[in-house]
Amino acid sequence: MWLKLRERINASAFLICVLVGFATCSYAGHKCAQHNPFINFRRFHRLLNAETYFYPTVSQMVALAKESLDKGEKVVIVGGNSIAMGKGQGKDLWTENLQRRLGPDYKVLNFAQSLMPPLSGPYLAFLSLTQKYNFVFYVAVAEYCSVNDVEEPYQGYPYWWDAYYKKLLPPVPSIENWISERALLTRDKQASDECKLGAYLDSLFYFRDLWTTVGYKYFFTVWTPGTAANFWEPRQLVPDYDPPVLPIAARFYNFNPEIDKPRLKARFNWIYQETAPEQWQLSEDNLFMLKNAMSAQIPTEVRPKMLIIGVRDCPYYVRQDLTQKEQQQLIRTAKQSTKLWRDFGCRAIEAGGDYVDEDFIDDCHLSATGGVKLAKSVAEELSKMEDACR
Amino acid sequence: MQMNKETMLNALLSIILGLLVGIFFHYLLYRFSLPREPFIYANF
Repeated sequence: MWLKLRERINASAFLICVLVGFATCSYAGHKCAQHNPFINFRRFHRLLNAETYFYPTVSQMVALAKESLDKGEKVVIVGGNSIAMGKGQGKDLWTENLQRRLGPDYKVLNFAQSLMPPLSGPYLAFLSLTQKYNFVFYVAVAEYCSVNDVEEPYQGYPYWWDAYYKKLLPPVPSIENWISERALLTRDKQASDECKLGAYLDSLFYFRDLWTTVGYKYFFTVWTPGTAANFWEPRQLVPDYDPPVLPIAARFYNFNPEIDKPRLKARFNWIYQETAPEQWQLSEDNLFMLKNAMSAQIPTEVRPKMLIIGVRDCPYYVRQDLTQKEQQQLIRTAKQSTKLWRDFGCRAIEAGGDYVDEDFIDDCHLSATGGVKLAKSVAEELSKMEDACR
Repeated sequence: MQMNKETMLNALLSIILGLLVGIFFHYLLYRFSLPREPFIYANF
């Protein structure tokens, strides 16, 4: 049968059509990159993000934001981790509360994803948009006294190189120099080169934009544990669902000091070094590294448009896990982080200082009531930031 | 006439198969660009 098929195929026509098919897909991908595929966008929930092999591209985030900006709306891009994403909040999403507080002149776009650091895809979309638009703001939840390398891939997805090769970014020599310097320290050079090569090829053939759009609108092609039952379903039909929150008496059932205590202590054990039992000293070396990373990767002119939020941990866990001195140290670190961002020219707030157990669904994620409090604080800061932009 | 019909069918087959292979190569690039290990943040 194979031989018979080979006899019937005209090699020249076949090869030309292979090229035509490939080129048509690339052209379609290029077009997809310029248009927002998302309908009634709410957030990149767990069935629409990296947790289920759906990687929204920077072009798609930019296209979504441009729709609102071109209508004259002011855009607030929300980035950062699962706290910013509103994990567990279901229909009471904090960014929707923020949208209601800000009114119709604003559009709040929640691009945060689980474990996403502050300088990742949403930040790059923000940087891209600041080239042309004045009223675009970036709000991110970040770990205390910490900033990631912008070039570091997010769960294997090279957002920096995606935006860089597609020429979405303004020229920022300090970031490029920073990346070149960091490249010399990279341990896994092969993985890094593969990431770059993939992004470069994507900037030529736009396969990520095309197949992500197809996966969102028509059918998804990758099996994942989270969507195993019907993985082919177009992601636009997959509901944004969070399980109901347990009553407060049963909510913290998974409390485990062996896991939680080291995680909480890690929040202050880098920027502060424990010099004696329960005595900490600010590490000048780490502070210097942090300041260098921040100043290289965040251009001066965009800093007043950035709001960095440090969210305190659930008081139940803090009370159970940490000694009095450790609790004080955690608060000290939170304050140091806010000060650091403010000194640097960004806006920064600490959220959670006055939150109670009911404002959390677990050790760090906010419940509906916590989300309302966060939205209130962010709305107040954004109104001040808007005045600064005029 | 029979020859012409067969030639046309062969050309059509070549075109359709060629296009499908081209699309498949494009899709392969997308699949290769995905991380090898899925990212599992929470239990489903």
